[in-house]
Amino acid sequence: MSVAAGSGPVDAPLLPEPVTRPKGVLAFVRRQPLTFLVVSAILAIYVLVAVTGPWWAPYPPDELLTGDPFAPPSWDHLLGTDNFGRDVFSRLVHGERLVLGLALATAGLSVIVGSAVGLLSACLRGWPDELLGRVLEILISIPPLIIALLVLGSLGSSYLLTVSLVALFFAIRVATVIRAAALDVVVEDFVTLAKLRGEPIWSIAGREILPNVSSAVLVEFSLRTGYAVLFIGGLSFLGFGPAPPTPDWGLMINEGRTYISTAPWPVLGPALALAGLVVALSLFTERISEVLGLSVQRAPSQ
Amino acid sequence: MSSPAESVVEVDELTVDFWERDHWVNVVNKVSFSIEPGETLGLVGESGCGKSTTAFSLFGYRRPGSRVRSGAIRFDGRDLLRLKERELRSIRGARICLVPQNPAGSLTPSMRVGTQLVETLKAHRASTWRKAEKRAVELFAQVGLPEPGEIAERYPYELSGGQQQRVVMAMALACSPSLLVLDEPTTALDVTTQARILKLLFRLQGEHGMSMLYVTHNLGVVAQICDRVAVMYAGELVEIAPTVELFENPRHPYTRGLIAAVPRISAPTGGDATLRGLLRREELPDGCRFAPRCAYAQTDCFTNPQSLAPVAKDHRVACWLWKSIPGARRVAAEEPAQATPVPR
Amino acid sequence: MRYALRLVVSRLGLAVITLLAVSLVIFWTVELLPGDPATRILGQDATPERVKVLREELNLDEPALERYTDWLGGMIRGDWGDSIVAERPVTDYVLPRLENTLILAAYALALYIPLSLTLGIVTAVFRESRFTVWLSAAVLVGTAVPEFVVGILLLLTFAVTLPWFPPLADIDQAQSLPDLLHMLFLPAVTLTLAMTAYAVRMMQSSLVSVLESDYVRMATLKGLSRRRVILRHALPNALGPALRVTVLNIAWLIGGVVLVEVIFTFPGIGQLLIDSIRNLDTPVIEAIALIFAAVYILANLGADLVAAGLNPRLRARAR
Repeated sequence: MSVAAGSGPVDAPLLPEPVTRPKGVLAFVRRQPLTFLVVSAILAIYVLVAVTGPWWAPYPPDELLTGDPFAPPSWDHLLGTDNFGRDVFSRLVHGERLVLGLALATAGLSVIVGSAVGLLSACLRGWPDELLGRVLEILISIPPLIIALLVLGSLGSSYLLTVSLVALFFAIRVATVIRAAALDVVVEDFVTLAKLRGEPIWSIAGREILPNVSSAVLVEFSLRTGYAVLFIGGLSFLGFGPAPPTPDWGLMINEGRTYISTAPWPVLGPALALAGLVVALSLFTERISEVLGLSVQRAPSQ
Repeated sequence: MSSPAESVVEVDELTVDFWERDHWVNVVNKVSFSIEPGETLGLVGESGCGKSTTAFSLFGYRRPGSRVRSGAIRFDGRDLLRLKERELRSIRGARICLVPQNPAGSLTPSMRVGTQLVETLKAHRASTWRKAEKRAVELFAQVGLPEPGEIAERYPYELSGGQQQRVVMAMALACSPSLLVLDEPTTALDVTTQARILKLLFRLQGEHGMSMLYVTHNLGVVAQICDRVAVMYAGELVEIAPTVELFENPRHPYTRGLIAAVPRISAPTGGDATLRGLLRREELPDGCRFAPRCAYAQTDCFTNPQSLAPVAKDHRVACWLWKSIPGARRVAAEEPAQATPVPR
Repeated sequence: MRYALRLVVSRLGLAVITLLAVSLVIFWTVELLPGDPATRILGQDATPERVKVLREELNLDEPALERYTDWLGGMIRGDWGDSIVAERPVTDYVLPRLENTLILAAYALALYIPLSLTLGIVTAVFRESRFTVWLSAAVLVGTAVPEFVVGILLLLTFAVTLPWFPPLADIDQAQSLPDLLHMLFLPAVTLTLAMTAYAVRMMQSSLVSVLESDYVRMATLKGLSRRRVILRHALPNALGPALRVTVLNIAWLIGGVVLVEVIFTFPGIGQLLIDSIRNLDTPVIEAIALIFAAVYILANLGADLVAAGLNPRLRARAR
C-alpha cells in the first residue's frame, strides 16, 4: 500500500451513491423553514380576517336572499349561497372571529388553570403532589366529548359554558404535562436555594420554576388552540354549539349537510376553512416545539 | 511492511461525511492503512475521532445520514465500498465479523441468543437448522460459556455482561472469519471480566489465525494485544507504527499526549477540552487538525495540511516538525505539561 | 409474578374509582336536564295528580343519593329502566344499536391494523426516499384534519360526486356481508384514516429508533437479509408503542364514532345518544353515556397495562 496510490481529486465524489440525508416527518419540517413561513403566513391571514373581516365582508352574515338560494360560486358570491340565499363567504368571514376567539379563550384558560395546578403540585411535592397526580390520572380518563354533550345538552349551550367546559378538560391534560416538566426543575439547586431562603411557595412556582417551563407552556398553548378549534367545531357540528343563525363554521357544516347532494358549497367552504386552520396550527406547534427542543406528546384526543 | 498483495484488507484514502442538520461534516479524512494476515492492528483515538466510522466502513456499511465521499476498501480483490448489497451480505458475518462495543445493546432483546447465533450460521453455511443448532452449542462452549445448551435458550437480558460478550464473540467466530473487527469490546465490562475476555481473544486468534482490527481509546489494552497501532485525531490518521516503536518513540505530539496521559488517568480520553475541540469540526484549521491544541504548533501548521511520511521502518507520522520535536523515550516523565491537551 | 399482579390490581382499582366518579358525573348532569321527568313523560297538559303518581312510581321524591345508588345498581344488574320516548326497556332499545356500532368499529379496526402497520414500516424503512417524505407530510396533515371534515369530504367525493358508495349507511338494509362492507366503507374509512395517522407517526418514530439501534446494525453486519433484519429483529421491538397507541385509538373511537355516525346517518349508539339528548330521554342517555365511559376507561387502562408490560425491567421481574 502507499499513500500516494489513490491521490485522485478528493472533492469530486468517486462513488455513484446518491447524496442522501436524514428524512422523516420532523426532518422534513426542520429542513423546510419555508413550510414554517407559509404556515405562519396562513395563520396571520386567519387572524387578520378574524379581526378585520366584518368591515369588508361583502354581505352581512345573516342577510337572506343576497342571491338565489344554492347559487353556485361566482364573482358575486365567491363561495356560493346557502339554502336561505345567504352569502357563504361572508358568513365564513364573520364566523372566523367566533371560531378563533372561542379557541383562543379555551386554550388560554386551560393553560392558565392547568399550569397553575401543575406548578403548584410540583412545588408542594410529597403527598399532596402524589394525591394530585392520582386525581389527574382519574380525571384524564373521563371521556370529554360524552360529558360535554351531556352538560351542554342539560344546561343549554352558551359561549361561557362551552369555553369553561372544554378548558376544564384541556386543563387536566395541561396540568399533567406541566407537572412533569416542573418536577424536572424542582430538583435543581436554585429551587432548593429559594426554599432555604424561605420564599413562599407561590413565589417559587412563579419566579423560579415557571420561567424554566415556559417553553412547555407555550407549546401547550399552541397545541391546545388547535385542539380547541377541533373540539368546539365538533360540538357545534353535532348541534351543541351556538344556535342558528350564528355563522359558526361547525354549525354551517351541520346546516348545509342536508343539501349536500345538490349544493356542496355551503359545507365545503367552512369544512376546508376549519381543516386549514387546524392543520396550520398543528404544523405551527410542531415547528415551535422543535425549535424549543420539546417533543409534542400527540395522542388521539377527545 | 509486507507488499499490498498479501494484505487482508487495505483501506485507501477513505473519506466519510455525516449530515448534520443542513450541511455535511467531514468525519473521516483520507485515512489509509492495511492489515496483514494474522496481525492485530490497534486503532486508537478519542471518542468521536472517526475510528468507529472507519471500522464500520470495513463492512461496506454506512450509517444512515452519512456518505462515503471517496476512497476504497480492498478485500479479497474487491472494493467493499462498491459492492452490491447481496455480495456484501456474503462477506459480512462470514469473512469479516464484528465484536461490538456494547454487547447488551447489540443482541436483539426479543430473540433467544441461541437463535441469534443459529441464524448467522444459517445465513452463510447452508445446512439444516438442527445442525446449525448443534454447532451453535459447540461455539458457545468454545468461547467458554458454562452450560452452553442452556444459555442458548435464554434471552439477552437474562445473561451477565461477560456472558453477553462471549455470546457476541461466538457469533463473530461462527464462520471462521479472516478479519475480526473489535469495536472497544471491553469498555462495558469490569476489569476482571475484561482481562478474561482479552485472554480468550488471544486464544481464539491463535486457534483461528485471523487478523484483527482493535478499535479502542485504551492504550493499556493496545500495548497488551496489538502488533501495530494507528492513531487517529479528528478524522485523520496522525501516526502509525509497530506497538513497541510507538510507545518507545512516539513522534506525533498528539500520540505523545495520549501516552503521557496513561499513567495519570486510567481512562486516557482527553476530557472536556478534547471533546470541545472535536464537536466543532467546522472550526478545524485547514492545515494540521491538531494544531490548535498542539504545544509545538507554528503558524505554518494551521495552513499546511499534513500527510503521513515515513520516519523509521514501518513508522509513519503526519507532522512535518517530527524531527525538531525531541525524540522521547520517557515522554511522560520529561515533559508532561506540554503534552497535556490545552483547553481553548 | 407479584409485581405484575400488584400493578394490574392497582390499575384496575383506579379504573373502578374513575368509572364510579364518571357515573356520578353522568347521573348529576342528567339530573340537570331541563324540566321534570314526570312532566316530560306525560306531556305539558297532564294533571298534577297524574304527575304526582308517576313521580312516586319513578321514586323522584327520594333523596338524590338513594336514586343514584338505585340507578347504578340497576345498571350493574342489567335493569336499565325504560326509555321515555320509545316506551320500552332501554336494553331492547340500546343493545341492537350497540351491536351496529361495534360492527362499524370492528370494520374500522380491521382496516386500520394492516394499513397502519404497512405504512409505519414503509415510512420507517424507506425513510431516506423522497416518496416517504411526502407520505410523512401527508400523515402529519392527516393527524390534524378534523375527522368530521374528512367524513364530509369523503361523503362528498365518493357518495355524491362519484356515486360509488351510498351516502347513508343504513346497516339494516344490508342484504349480505359484501353488501354490508360496501355500505359501511365510507364511515369505516373515516374512522380508520384518523386512527392510522396517529399510529403511523408513533410506529414510524419507534421503528426508526429501533432501526438505528446497535442490535439492528449487528444483525445487518452478521450478513442477514434486509427482510429478516426488519421482520425478525426490528419489528418485534418496535411494536410496543404502536400497540399502546392502538389501545388509545379505541378510546378515541368513542368520540369519533359519535361524529361519524351523525355524518353518515348510521343507526348506532352515538347517533342514539345525540337523539336522546335532544329528546331528553334520561334513561337512554345514562345507559349510553355509561357504556361509552366504561369503554373509554377500559381502553385507557389497557394502554397503561400495555405500556407497563412492555417495560423490560418490569417484565423481567414478573417472570
